[in-house]
Amino acid sequence: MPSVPYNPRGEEKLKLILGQLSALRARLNGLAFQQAVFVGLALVIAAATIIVLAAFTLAPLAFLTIGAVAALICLGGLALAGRHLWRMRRSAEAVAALADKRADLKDRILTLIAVQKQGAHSSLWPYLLEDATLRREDFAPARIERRRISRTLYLLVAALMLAALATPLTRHTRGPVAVAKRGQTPLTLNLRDLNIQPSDRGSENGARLSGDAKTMRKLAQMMAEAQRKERNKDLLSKMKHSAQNLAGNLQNKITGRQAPPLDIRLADNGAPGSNPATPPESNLNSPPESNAQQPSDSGSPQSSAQAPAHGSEETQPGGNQSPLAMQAPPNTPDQGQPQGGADSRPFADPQRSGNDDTGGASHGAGTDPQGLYGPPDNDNKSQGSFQIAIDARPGASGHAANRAYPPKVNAPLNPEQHADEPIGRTDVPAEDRSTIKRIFER
Amino acid sequence: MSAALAEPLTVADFARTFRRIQGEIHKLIIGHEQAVEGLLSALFAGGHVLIEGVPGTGKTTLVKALGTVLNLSFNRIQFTVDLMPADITGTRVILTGDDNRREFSFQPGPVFCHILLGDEINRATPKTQSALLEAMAELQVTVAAKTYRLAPPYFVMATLNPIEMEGTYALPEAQLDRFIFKVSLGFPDESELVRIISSTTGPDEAGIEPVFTHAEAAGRIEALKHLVREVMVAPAIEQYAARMVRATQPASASFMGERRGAPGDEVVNRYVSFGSSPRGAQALILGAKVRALLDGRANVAFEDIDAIAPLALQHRIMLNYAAHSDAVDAAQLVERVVKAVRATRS
Repeated sequence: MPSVPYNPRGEEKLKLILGQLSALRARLNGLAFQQAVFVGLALVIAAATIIVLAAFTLAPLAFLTIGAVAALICLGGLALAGRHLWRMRRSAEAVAALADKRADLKDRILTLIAVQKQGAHSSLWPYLLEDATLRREDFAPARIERRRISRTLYLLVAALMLAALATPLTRHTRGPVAVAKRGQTPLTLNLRDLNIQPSDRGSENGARLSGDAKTMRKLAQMMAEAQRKERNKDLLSKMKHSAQNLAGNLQNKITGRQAPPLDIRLADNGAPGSNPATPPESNLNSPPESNAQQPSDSGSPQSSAQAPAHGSEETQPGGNQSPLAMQAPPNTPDQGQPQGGADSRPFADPQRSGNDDTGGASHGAGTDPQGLYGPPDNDNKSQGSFQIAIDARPGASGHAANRAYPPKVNAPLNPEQHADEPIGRTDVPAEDRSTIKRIFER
Repeated sequence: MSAALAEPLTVADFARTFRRIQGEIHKLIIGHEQAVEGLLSALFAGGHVLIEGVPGTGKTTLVKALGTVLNLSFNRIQFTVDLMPADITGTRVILTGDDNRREFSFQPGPVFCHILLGDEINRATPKTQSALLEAMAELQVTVAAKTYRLAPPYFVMATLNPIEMEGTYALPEAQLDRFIFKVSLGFPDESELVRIISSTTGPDEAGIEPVFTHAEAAGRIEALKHLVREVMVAPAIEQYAARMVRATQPASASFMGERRGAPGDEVVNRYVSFGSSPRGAQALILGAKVRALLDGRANVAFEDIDAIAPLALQHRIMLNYAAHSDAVDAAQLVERVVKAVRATRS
């Protein structure tokens, strides 16, 4: 067979075909890039949404677990997306093969590209070139790949929608924080009612402790004892403790819930739980979750307040300076706390309330009755019975117990009206009337 | 060479000539379309073909028809157990010349032709069968230390009778490997049988006409064979063919004490004692090139390789005893290999 003569028109045809393939390649590679970017962004947004939601709604350990899993999935997904992008990156041969497949060109383009690269043309090269040129419309970029935007955009939109849906939920769960930041009143706690435990270094909340010298010395002794006990604890407990603190701090940073430092006055008033100033019903009727007037959002039940390492008359805010944290049992009396507000005990003992693995957000959310039942009302019905203020429902005793009956009205009578005198309408002897009236009015 | 040959052949010329030859053969041969196409593909790919079929299915008629249509010299050898190599290749005999001097002169055997039919080749001894090897592979015959060239085109068609195996000698693998394709002539269906009866038992037998003149036949066929070689193949498709051939090798296949078997299919590992040789890959590509030209293309496609694989690979796969025991044949294995390799493409 004679060799193929140089054909300038053949070169033009080849350029046309190669240009078309380049356009197709650019489109396919662009789609692959878009896919990687959209999937990556969707993963990051979805993971961030899940982490934020978990921070607002879950207990620290659950938050830590969910957050870690979400972060790992996100990182893995990003790596996979990058790998996929690298694989989807189309070479000229791959683009030709795809064009052949989608336009049913029976590998004409693939062969053309390969032979053109080799440079050794056979006598049938012009025929192949002509054949491919005639079918140029079949492998136009718009016919091989119609899309200009990757379908993974929907994934990104879905992730954005998820984030948008999650936003109101996070706002809703901010309620207790707002209440927590409202007016702070100094608390007086009985030192004997406190369960003192070493605090994690990561704990950020603190308290300003004050007390007389004797009480502070006693506190120092208790802290030393607590540290000794802590050293004897097993590794697993310590790790769990640290994880809880870490998770709590993370949650606080994410949610922005940071309770102001508490002003606590310590007292050493004899036997634990004894508080003559507290009415008996305030302990009996208070639900366990309504123990704290100042909810602790520190992320750890043990780190609600921090005491100084050595007793002193007055201490600065705890911050991270003290390795110890205090816990008040649920029936801690609220000495010096005004009775008109909610329950004055700031710290719930998680072990006694059944929430030993909760702290931080859940602590705050679970121990704040105002957050659950709305802002406390200060009307007359709460006077003398702080149970009504906490539960926002009529109590079993006190003046508010009669809210189901019509209130007494002391309005003046008009001239045509007469006071009802039931005793007068009876045949009661005059000497017994005062006795009966007293019994009625009792 | 005629004036027509001076002009370069085109893809369309090839397809037109091929279809014309096919049409003439089918005037005589009823049915067997795939077998005829395979036979012609082997001719234009430059190989030789093994035809397998039960008696009476038209093996000899097909080969004779091809010889007539191509208008090339045609010989037929009926292989028997007492046939000797010299009966095929030719021998030196003492002849008396014009000057009454007697001298040894080479008398060419039946291999000296363009188209050779070796009928029931498995009836001859391996020694006689092997006499064909040199002719088939190198287009030459060596007798008494003298080599005689065979005129191209040279095309050997050997028939095998698969049911009468008593007193036969199975072809050695080396000789089987020299046949580019193995074509099976199946039993005709009822309508084909009716047409065979009516066309062969009447007063007038169907006449077939040569496609080429005797003078130009060899040149035209050689030109068409050359055109086949010009068909372009992408490296990816060559790799695909190589992968397919390697997939026929069981994992335990050993070459010169070195294990080179591909980690192939479980069924291949179980039933194949030895897979296709590299000639199988050559057969795949050449057959695919013919198929591409017939489809009006100057390039080989993946699907050409798939389509030609049964013809090119079946007779190159040596089955073990387990395959015979489980009634697994080479066609099933090739089909499985093609599917497996095709799956790796996408």
